[in-house]
Amino acid sequence: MASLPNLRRGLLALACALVGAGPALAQAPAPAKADKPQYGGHLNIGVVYYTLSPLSFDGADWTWKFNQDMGLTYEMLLAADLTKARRSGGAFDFKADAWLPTDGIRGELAEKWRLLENPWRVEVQLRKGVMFPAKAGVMPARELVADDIVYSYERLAKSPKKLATYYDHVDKVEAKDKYTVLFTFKNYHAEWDYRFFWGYYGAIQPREVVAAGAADWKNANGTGPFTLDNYIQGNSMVFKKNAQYWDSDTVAGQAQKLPYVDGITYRIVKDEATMLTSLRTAKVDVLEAVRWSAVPELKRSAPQIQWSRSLSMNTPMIALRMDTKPFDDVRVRRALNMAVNKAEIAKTYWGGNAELLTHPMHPAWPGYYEPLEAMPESIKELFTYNPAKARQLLAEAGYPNGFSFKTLVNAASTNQDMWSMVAAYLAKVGVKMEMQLTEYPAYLSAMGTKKHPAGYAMELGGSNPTTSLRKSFLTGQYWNPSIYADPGFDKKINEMYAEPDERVRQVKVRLMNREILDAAPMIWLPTPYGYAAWWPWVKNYGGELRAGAERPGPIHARIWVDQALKKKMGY
Amino acid sequence: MDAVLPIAADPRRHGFWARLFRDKPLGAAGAIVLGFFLVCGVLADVIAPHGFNEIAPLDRMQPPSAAHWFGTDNVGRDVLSRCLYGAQLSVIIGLSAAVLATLISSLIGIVSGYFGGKVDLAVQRFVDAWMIFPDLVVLIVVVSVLGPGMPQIIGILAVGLGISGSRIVRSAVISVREHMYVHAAQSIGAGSPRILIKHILPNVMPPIIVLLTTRVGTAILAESGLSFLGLGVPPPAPTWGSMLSGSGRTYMFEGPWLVLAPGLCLTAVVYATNVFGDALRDLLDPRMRGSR
Repeated sequence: MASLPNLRRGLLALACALVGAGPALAQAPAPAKADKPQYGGHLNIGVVYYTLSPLSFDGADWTWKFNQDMGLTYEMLLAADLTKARRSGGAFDFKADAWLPTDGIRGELAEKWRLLENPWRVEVQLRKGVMFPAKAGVMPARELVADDIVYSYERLAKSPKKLATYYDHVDKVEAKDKYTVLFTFKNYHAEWDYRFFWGYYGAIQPREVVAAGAADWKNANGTGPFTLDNYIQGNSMVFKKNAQYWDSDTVAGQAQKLPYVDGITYRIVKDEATMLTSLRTAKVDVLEAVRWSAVPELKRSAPQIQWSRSLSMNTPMIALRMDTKPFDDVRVRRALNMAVNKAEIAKTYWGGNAELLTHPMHPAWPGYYEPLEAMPESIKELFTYNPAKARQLLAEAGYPNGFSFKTLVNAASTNQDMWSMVAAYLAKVGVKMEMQLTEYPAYLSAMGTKKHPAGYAMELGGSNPTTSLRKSFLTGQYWNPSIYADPGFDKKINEMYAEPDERVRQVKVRLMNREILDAAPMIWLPTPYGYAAWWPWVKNYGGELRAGAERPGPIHARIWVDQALKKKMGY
Repeated sequence: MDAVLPIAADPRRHGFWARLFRDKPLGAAGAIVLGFFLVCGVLADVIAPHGFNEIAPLDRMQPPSAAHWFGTDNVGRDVLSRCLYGAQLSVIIGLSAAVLATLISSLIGIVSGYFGGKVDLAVQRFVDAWMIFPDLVVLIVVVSVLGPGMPQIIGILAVGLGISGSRIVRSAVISVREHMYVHAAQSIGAGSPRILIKHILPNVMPPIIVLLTTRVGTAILAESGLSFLGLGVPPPAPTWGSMLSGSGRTYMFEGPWLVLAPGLCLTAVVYATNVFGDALRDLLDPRMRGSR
């Protein structure tokens, strides 16, 4: 016989279904009264980039996806303070791909930390009693100590795959005692915390794992809430609970040991329709990325599913190589922007579920973002369809009859029709864009080695305000497919990074963003809204996506499963 | 003056097409369907009412109507036009790959089957090794390395289908080489090339022709499979497979015509090649002449 609370939850779910609560559920969920968590069960999750297999299991390979795949196993010094999530009455939705507001951060492996001046430095006090679990053939169980932080930092800093200039601001990293680490900087750097403490790079991997072979998933072993139990390329990553995990969750004033579920599987599915079917049939409990066009049908066929909507952090665009003719001429780049009817793409291709943003800034970064309406005319016109002026600019640049160029496209992109639309618009002003599809690793490698053709179609995530300028517009950077290279702009970036006053930094960033937009190194396209979906038995979750840089691990570790409800709903 | 006597009509001398229509109506229907798609493909530039990537976003997802017989897709492109251009690509890929594959099959099969011994042993072990790998896996690997594109797809389909198809030709050759007329040719000193070309090849033509026709359908299907996986001919060029996997699958509930149109084209062509191939085998096999 169902217990009363479960019955109540079941009736609530049924009521939601009967009244067609879909539209209401599309909004961010209101703070919910905390239920008593349950332990056990298994979660199946389709993470944001569910079509992609892990790129590496070694943090020193500097792959952007490492945190997404291994964030349940490897921890960092800092992470998002999920008690401040909007669903808990807090201020943050924790959806940005690599942006944690200063007052939305908590210590993960760091118990406390402080930023000091003269010289600029950060002193970190580690939590005591945090354990690496025993792993047969790799390491016995042992406590995390300050040397592990120093070792992980040095390994990253010495990696041949390191991003250029990434740790140039760091003078030295030392273990002052067993639990104290001191980071000494050469100068102030606005991203001191992002670049090692909670960003893409900075996961703490013990030296024993490195000795055994960090690239082999079987050797993975970290202090996190789950250990990687199995991995099948292109299919799944299976994690099992780390019984020795140190952290707890506070529910109704009571500490609850984490994690709640016995295991988590990240499903890797190449095919979008298959993943949507998996959600509809509850083969996955949480799907972090649902395209807008699939939402109405899912709401009809599975009305109990819960929804959260947010503006994607990834802006589709086509980077134009500025070191290659004809894109070394700003008139050509501006012409191509004017030749594409971006408003029409937003209205038709995205069904109105998209916005024209002043990329690379994003509205998720208050203080740094300026909307299109606030921009000067020279920028506004880049977002206004004007094929006549596009033709005129092309003629002035010496291309009255247009030209042809090749664009590299990720074969796994779900937006091939949008790239085709761009090709169709460009054809109307005489520019032929030939699309070259390639598999993701080769596609990524082409950008990294700068061997890509004149065009490079991508959905580019900005990470955070300062990084978005650095990574795509600083000379020589990996994620710079436009090959933007301007010594004057490089100098401004360095000055911006050295500015400790955030308000001043925000002004600098806004001005630099205008400069980038005016130079039109990319054909910017509308940024779509995305949806996260989960079944009602998934508790302690409200559609949060990242607790760091592409790192959902801490969010998933706090989810618990209402198993009675799941059973009652027939799953 | 000598009377000119009419020569009695030899039923076996009837034109091929007449025999096809008289004896094999299903095969004839297949030929008509194939011919129809061939014409559509060749004349796509002329008969398609719109360009294959001519967008009209405000007319997106229109159901079939007088203006758009097969409706429009998610960016407002005319589905009929895309199907016609898809026929062009499918016909080019299917025929090219099938012809090349059949040439490869014939070459390997005839040499291996006729010479036998160590040549046969070596060639067949290579064929064995090749056939261990599933075709689609080989295709995906090669296309991933070389990148998607029509020449690559035609080439790899031709090699893949050609090597595996050589088994059929080889078995036919092994049977034929033991016939008396082959021994007779050998005994009067005919060289191997002459025997292969004059005596073996004509007598293994029926399976080769059937192989050719079935390979057309197989190649079109394989290309569709690759396009379905995003490894076929790059967009916006339409192939039936990519139409099915792209907007077709994404919007199949909102616009079922997006999958029906390319799906029916694909089905019709593959079915037509198969029934036409069967008919060809029956008509061209010397052992089946006179039979219906």
